[in-house]
Amino acid sequence: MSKNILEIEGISKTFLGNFKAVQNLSLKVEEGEVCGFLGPNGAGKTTTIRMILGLIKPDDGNVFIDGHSIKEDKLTALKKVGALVEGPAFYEYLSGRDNLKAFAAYSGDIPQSRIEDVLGIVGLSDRGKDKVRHYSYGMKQRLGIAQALLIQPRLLILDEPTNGLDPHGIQEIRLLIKRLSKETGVTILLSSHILAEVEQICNKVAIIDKGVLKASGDVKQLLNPEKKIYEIASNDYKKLLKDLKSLNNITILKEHDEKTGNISFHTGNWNPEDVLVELVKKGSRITLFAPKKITLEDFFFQITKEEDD
Amino acid sequence: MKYLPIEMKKIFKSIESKISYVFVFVIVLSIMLGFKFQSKQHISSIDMVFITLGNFSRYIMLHLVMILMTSLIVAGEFNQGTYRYIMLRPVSIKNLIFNKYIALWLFAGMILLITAALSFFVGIILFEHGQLHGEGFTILSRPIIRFIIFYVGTWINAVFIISFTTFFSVILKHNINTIVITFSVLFIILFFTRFVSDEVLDWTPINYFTLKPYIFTEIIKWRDIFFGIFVTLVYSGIFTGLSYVKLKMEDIL
Repeated sequence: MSKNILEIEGISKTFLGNFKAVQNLSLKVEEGEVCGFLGPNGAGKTTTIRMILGLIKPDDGNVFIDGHSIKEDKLTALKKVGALVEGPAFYEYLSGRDNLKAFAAYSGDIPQSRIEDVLGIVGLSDRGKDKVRHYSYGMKQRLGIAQALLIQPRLLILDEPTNGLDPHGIQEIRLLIKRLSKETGVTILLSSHILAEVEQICNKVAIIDKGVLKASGDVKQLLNPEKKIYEIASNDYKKLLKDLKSLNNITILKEHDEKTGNISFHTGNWNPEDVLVELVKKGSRITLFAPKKITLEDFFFQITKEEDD
Repeated sequence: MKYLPIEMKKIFKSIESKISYVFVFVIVLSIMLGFKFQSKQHISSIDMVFITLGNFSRYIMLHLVMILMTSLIVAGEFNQGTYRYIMLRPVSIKNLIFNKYIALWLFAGMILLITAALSFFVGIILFEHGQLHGEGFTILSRPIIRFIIFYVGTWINAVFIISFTTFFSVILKHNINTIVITFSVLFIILFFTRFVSDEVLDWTPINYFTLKPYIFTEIIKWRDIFFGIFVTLVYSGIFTGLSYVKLKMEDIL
């Protein structure tokens, strides 16, 4: 079993006396994982990330990075952490290379060759001498990732790294993250709004809403793990729906999918094959009967909608 | 002092440092040309080395330069957003403030050096060689010692304006606001000093912005000079301490 590189134990944060931004959140991320950290706007993602990085002091709980407490031993804990938090920030009047030199100086003992390496990793070697004020936003994002990589981190925290980028920029960052995970084995905590992207890149996901952790786990296991949710379609939609509703212990999840027009249902304690047999006996002419492919987006909306309901 | 080179780089590559050099150049030349056109008698090139800095400090122009640069180096970290990235590094707030202070203080020293050199060399062109004159155009002895005390003393006391501006920087967290508010507060304080006696002002850094009154006497007032430096450093320590505590206590949002 892999070691936990990040352990969050019951952290909470309240602002302005009564606004609970994060409530008793616990999460573990194993070494080498790429963990997606999802939530709607205002869910508490950035507050959580700032608590992980020691920028905000939690009211309760603690964060351990590679066994070192952020509260008690912050400087050691952060030694192997690289982060991009709420957008890149640079000295605009200095060149990209000079900016990295500045952050390297603050990080301590980073050789010049490492600066050139990270510029190469993010594809900015040719633009290193240009002042950051002349960079596009996408280039600044890439330089931001470069500064996070300076110390060869074991834990890389990226807070919405594709924010504000065009589709090309988004793809570049996505490919970069995948490459980093594959080639260096770095553990990545990725906060993002783009659910499809998280589903592609991450092998673990944690969903937060209104400051509370709603779900976390392996992506494959979270999304219809027991294959109890099925999709069904027929040329005679109304008859099919009526027949399906007549079966005991079947829960209709969606009577009409906007995209496919299919019906989604939970099989309950039925075997899927028996459901099919019963429907055919009742005279339904089935054109589709298959386990529903739950996307992360479906799961996300289901999780965050439950609370609203 | 491992961050000193990078803090120095931030200063010397900034547009604000270029503005400072031009500002110094223009002001010093203006002072010198003003005196030249007044055709005052008995002013020597040596006198000009003291007169320029005396006016520069007295009318808080050195302070303006240092407020400008301190706001860039301290407040600028907040409104650029780089402070949060520095705090992700194994950097202690104490070390960070210390290194920034040293860098700014060295910059102040450079400004003073430019003032001295410019005054001396232009003074040679505009004015005659001569001796150092005090009140009533009396000849003052030991000009080199007086020069060292004046410039080094002013340099040491520059740490006050650095700490004063740092204090407003950590509160306001914005370049322009820091410049405006710090300069305004300083100006208001100086305005009200006219209603306060010297006995009270002797316990504040205000009476030591320029050390000229203690140097341009027949006998150098060593006690006043050292006391002035001590008082200035105490106040600097207080503002630095307040800035440190504020940064240590608050969350980085």
